[in-house]
Amino acid sequence: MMEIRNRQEILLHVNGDRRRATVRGSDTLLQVLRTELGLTGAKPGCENGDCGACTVLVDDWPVKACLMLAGDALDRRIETVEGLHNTGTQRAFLEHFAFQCGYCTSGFLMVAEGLRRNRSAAHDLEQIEWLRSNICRCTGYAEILAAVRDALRSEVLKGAGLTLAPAASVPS
Amino acid sequence: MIAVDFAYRRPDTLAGAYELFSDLARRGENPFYLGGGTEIVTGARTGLFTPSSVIDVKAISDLRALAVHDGRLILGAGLSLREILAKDPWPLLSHILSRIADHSVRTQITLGGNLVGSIPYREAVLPFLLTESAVRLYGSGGDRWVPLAHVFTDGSLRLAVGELLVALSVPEAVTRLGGVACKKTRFDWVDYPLVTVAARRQPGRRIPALAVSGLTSGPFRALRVEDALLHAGPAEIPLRELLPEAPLDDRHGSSAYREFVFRNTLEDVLEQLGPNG
Repeated sequence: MMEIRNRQEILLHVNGDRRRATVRGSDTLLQVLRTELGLTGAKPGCENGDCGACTVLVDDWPVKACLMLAGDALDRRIETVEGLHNTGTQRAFLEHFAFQCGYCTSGFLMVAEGLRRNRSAAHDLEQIEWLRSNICRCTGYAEILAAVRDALRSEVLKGAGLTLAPAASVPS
Repeated sequence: MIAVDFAYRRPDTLAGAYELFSDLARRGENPFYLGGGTEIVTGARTGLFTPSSVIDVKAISDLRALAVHDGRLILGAGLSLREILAKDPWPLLSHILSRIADHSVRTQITLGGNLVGSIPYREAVLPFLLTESAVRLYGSGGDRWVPLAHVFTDGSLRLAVGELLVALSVPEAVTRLGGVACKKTRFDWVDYPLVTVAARRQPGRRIPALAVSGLTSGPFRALRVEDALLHAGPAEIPLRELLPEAPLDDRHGSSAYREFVFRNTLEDVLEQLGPNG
């Protein structure tokens, strides 16, 4: 039986690395990422599972890190926004100015990246259903949705050996 | 951040989980099963819950079942809503699950977590209330299947201390019958329900089987409403007399508004299912 009591050192698989962290059984994944591992890209927002600012990928699926205990993340592949390196999703967000204050951006990026990996052929309503997991209080939803659609289109085209034209020439 | 300190434990078997829970309880501790709701984490953060230990049971293989056995569909209580939606073994259930929480959170909420949690809506139970469902329990009474109707009373699952919900089952044939689900919220698409109705055709009966969440303090099978609808339309039935209790009156909606929304939802459901229920 796996057990975490008091403060105990555990190994987490984060962004492709094995990372040591000293945790309590009651620590959330969000808290451990930020305070133990220095990965502050996942943001504390509501800490109630509503806003999505803390979204990370766990085994490629978007998960709200404020709702997951660190112990629950053992033996899972965790990816934070720091683990994304010049992905098509990030480029699409830049091209579409899909951020204003930026606080929600890392969470939206991780949802978009999860969508690209798992459902790159998602139809419009499915894309919206995924994005409903997150809140942008600057209300930049139109740009975020445009960026996600571009990122997915690029993925589909890449699968066919094609590339996407620059964002300005892409109909919204 | 969760201020209270508790131990996290992940046993491998049902027996291991139950023995651990019983042992901790005997020692005066306050153990909680972590079954795949999200409430323990959010509740511990706000001080609503103060567990001494959480026992994570989600990965125990018995809770991960998804199979057809002896003509019954079996769904493990540890399956996440997203996993069930991906397999889609029962379209009516999928319809209900697809409106619980949001896409990301459905990776963390499990079937059992939704049913056993303290948030009263428990919408995942609605399709199960429409048929001869059974639940597998593990605890002081042993490892047993019992009819859902015997243990789901007054809107919640009545479990003995330390008892685990392991799985649910329904006749597989039921999963192929037509049904509809309709959820109405006050404002946002992602929100708790003012009213959620699940309806399933009943062979040989004009009115469908109905189960309701959000209207009162817990989900219920609306047998008396079904009978009344044989004689009058949703706008005419004496609704208050037919419900197990008065409609909720809270910040999501007043009692009168919920009643209004429920009558309209019934109209929608009956229309969608057509004249033969």
